[in-house]
Amino acid sequence: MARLGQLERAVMEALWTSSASSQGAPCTAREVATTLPDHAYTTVLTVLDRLTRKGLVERIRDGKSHHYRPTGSRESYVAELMHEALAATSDSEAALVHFAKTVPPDQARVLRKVLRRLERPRRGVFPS
Amino acid sequence: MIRGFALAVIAVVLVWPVRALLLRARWTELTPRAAIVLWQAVGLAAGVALFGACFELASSASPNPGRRQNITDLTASFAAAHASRAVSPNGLFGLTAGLIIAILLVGSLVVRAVGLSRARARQRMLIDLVGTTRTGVPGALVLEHPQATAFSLPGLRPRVVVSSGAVNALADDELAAVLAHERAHVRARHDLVLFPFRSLAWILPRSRSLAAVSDQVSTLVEMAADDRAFRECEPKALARALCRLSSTAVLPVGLAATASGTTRRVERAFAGRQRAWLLTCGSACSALGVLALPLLVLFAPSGGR
Repeated sequence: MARLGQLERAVMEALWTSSASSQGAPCTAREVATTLPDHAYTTVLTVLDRLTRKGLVERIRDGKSHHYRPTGSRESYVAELMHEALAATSDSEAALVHFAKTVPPDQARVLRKVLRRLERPRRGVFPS
Repeated sequence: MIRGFALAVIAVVLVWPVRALLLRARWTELTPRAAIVLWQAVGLAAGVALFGACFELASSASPNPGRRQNITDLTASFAAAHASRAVSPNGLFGLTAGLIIAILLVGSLVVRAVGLSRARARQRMLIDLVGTTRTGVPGALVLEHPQATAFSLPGLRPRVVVSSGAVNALADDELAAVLAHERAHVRARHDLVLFPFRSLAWILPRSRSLAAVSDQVSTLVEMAADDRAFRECEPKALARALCRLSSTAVLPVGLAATASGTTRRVERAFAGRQRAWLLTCGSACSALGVLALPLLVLFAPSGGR
């Protein structure tokens, strides 16, 4: 199970790299497979199919062959996760339990003061 | 009838004065886990009392009174009575109100549970796709993003995630404290604790008191995770991490109400680990009592009543 996850990551990496070098043009399964020499073409095809079903990859029919394109960039997915982690008012907040809620500016000032107080004794113990 | 009246009184007392008192109480921060249990007991007892009151109202006005009936019998006898146009309005009101509230409640909880698990499945998929493992950040995945944050995705296959911004901003002991806190959330299934409270606030978004209760329980859950983390890390390291992560990030709109929880957590961590056995026991006993009260009224043998 974990290995399949690794392979999915590798295939997505290959698609992202190729779409970055070709300005978003889709590539074929064969092209993806050549960048992953350790894996059989059919395996890559299966993974591409899985990724398509998950909505991470878009399959474009071009005559007799299929072309594949990532539906979102790595940055867009990171941004989506970060947005959901930080947007505490939306419904998505319930899906994530985050460490620290952001505080308004006046409380942030107080906390920074507390932080300075907490750091002072450390400096005494470990002189830099 | 008296039974139904008593249950209604219990429901009102729990929903209004008891809730207000618990919201204002500060002792809860000394023993967050017991306080969470007390909140759960109050919520459950209020629910039992409310439905019990509706049921008793219907039962006392039932077309064939005198014997205790379960809800199916009651509905059937009301349906039969309705057909012969011999039903009392009070009983019908109690029955329909109870049934409608129950159906709406269960329905929205199911809708929300499905929505949440879908959102979590997508988030887990994306985290597994774009998160990277790093030496020095054990048991967590790192998101390459300059903004500092840490969160956990709960569930059967949980994930703990930190942003690279947080890894850079935090010292080693602070990062360890953050990870211990998130692991505590995941291990204790705090998402399940929060689910009913947040769901109720979500079902009735206009209710400020439900929102306040949900916020309060969220803060208590954070404090419970802090307490668990203190077993593995230095409390002051957690305090520093809290200060750093909450004061550097950009403030999302509409969060001012819940933010004071963070400040209070810093104060707690600064004070170090504390034990309050008496408070914990007292809180647990009150939870039992609160839960037992409506059940006793509902199922007590009806001598003379």
